[in-house]
Amino acid sequence: MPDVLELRDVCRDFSHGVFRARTVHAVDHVSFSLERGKTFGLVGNSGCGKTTLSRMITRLIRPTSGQILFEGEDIAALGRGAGKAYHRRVQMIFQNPEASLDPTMKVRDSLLEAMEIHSLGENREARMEKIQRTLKQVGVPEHLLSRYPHQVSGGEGQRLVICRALLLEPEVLLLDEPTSMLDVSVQAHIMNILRDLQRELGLTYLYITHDIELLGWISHAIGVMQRGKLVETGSRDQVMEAPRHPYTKELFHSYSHWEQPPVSKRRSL
Amino acid sequence: MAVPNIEIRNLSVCFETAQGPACAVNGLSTTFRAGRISGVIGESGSGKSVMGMSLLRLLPNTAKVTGECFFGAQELLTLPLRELRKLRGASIGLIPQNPNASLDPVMKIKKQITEAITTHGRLGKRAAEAEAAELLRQFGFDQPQSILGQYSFQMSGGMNQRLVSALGLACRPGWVIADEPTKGLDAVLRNQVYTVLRQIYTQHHSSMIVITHDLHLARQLCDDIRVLYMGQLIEQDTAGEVMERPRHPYTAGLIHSLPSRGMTPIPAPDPARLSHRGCPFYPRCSKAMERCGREAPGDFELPDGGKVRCFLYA
Repeated sequence: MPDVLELRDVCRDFSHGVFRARTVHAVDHVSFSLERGKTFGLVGNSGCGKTTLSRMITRLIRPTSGQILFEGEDIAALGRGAGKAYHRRVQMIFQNPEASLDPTMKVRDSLLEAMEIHSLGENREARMEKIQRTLKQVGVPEHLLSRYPHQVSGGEGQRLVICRALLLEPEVLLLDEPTSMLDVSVQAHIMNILRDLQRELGLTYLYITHDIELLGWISHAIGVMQRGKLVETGSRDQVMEAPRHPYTKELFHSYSHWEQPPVSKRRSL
Repeated sequence: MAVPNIEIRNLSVCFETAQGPACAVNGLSTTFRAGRISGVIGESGSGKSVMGMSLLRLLPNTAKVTGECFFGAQELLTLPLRELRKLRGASIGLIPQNPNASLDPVMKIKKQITEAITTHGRLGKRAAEAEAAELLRQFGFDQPQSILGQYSFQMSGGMNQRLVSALGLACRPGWVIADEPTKGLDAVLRNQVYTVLRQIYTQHHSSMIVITHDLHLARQLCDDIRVLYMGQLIEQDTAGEVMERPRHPYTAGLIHSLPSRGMTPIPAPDPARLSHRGCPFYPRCSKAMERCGREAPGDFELPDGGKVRCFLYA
């Protein structure tokens, strides 16, 4: 089966300063592909270009050069109809749920609007029925539908965002630090939901994070980014257990440092 | 002068809301011993930050604070404001949460750090500037001079986090309250902040209260850990005991939520158990007994000196 999404030599520069004379290579000749039904974990420090990359995949910004192929077609060349379908099939989940939901709309209307835009469901009843089914999948009680985004907790908000994405029957989810603002117990809940959904629906994930623990838990393949470049890619086990690039080694070293018990013996209370 | 302990007695902090009073901290008593790093962990909303802020009286006026907080012989909650100001920063430093909001966006970094140092009259302007540069170097900035001439909005989140940490320690206080010092930092920067805090502790013998939901940080950095749940202190022990042998079912649940410890979430509250007069964790507890819904447990001493608020250890 061909890869769902393929990046070929993608670059993105940002110019700034007087006369736009200074250029930053935010993403620098990056190539990788997403295997259907699997998770590609993208890891790197703040500012390494992970988010710029995901913004290009969602067509929020265009690459300076290079191609992004979805099922073999360049997404820059998609027509109106195919472009709209692409936005439905590739959904994005951001870090902050409160910023992803319209604060002036009740949750129910936010969910309905997404389906209406993509003409899914025959009528309001059919749509509501689908919403109720999907809410069960992500474990959110129905009474939250009549709330506003500021009236739900962070964990509930993020589940609602995932629910909205699922309503559109996507094939690829881009997850940009979806749990970094949540507590560990809530994070565990969301991560379990994501893994179950992948198994049930065969979803493909691009998981962007700087949390090595989560990366190892969810990924099948891993890409490591440093200053805009993809410095190492490989299967999860290969990258986690036998990293080759010095930067990857440093990254995993600073993590494994945390996992080991401290060196000095603590005094008692 | 020896650094005194911080002793909290029966502290409650409540906010008036349309639905009646909401208490963030509920009858909390504990003593933070000088010379140690004490971690306070718990989920968002457990009251850990409110507890830290109330020690320095930094909460908004809408907060109703009762109880007593002793810093040596001084009672912080009733101390005249003039006296309290002498303590803030100089004796008890604060590393606040949300660094972007804590720094002044229209003041250069240099002014902000030297101001903190000169306000308490510790050094003159010149010496304060040199001190500021040295401080930044300790916090992992290779070119402090260029940073000092910039504004906070020109920095990344990680840099701002290190800047507020530097600010909190600018006057070399005997006590430091660090509120979520690693929030939003990646693995490498988190390591840096850890190293800096550890360094401050060993070099300047600062005593610390580290408020965090980063369990790995708490394990690595702290001597002992206190666990808050819904404004109550439910467990306290050495860091090793709490992380390796958690006693309270909530603490155990929190630790098992970590990806490396099984990624098992704490169950959602059981609707049938929501109305009760007992333990605050009763609706979510997998080990709940009939007694737990009827009466609230007291603190039970553990053989090794720790305390846990759960009937399992009665």
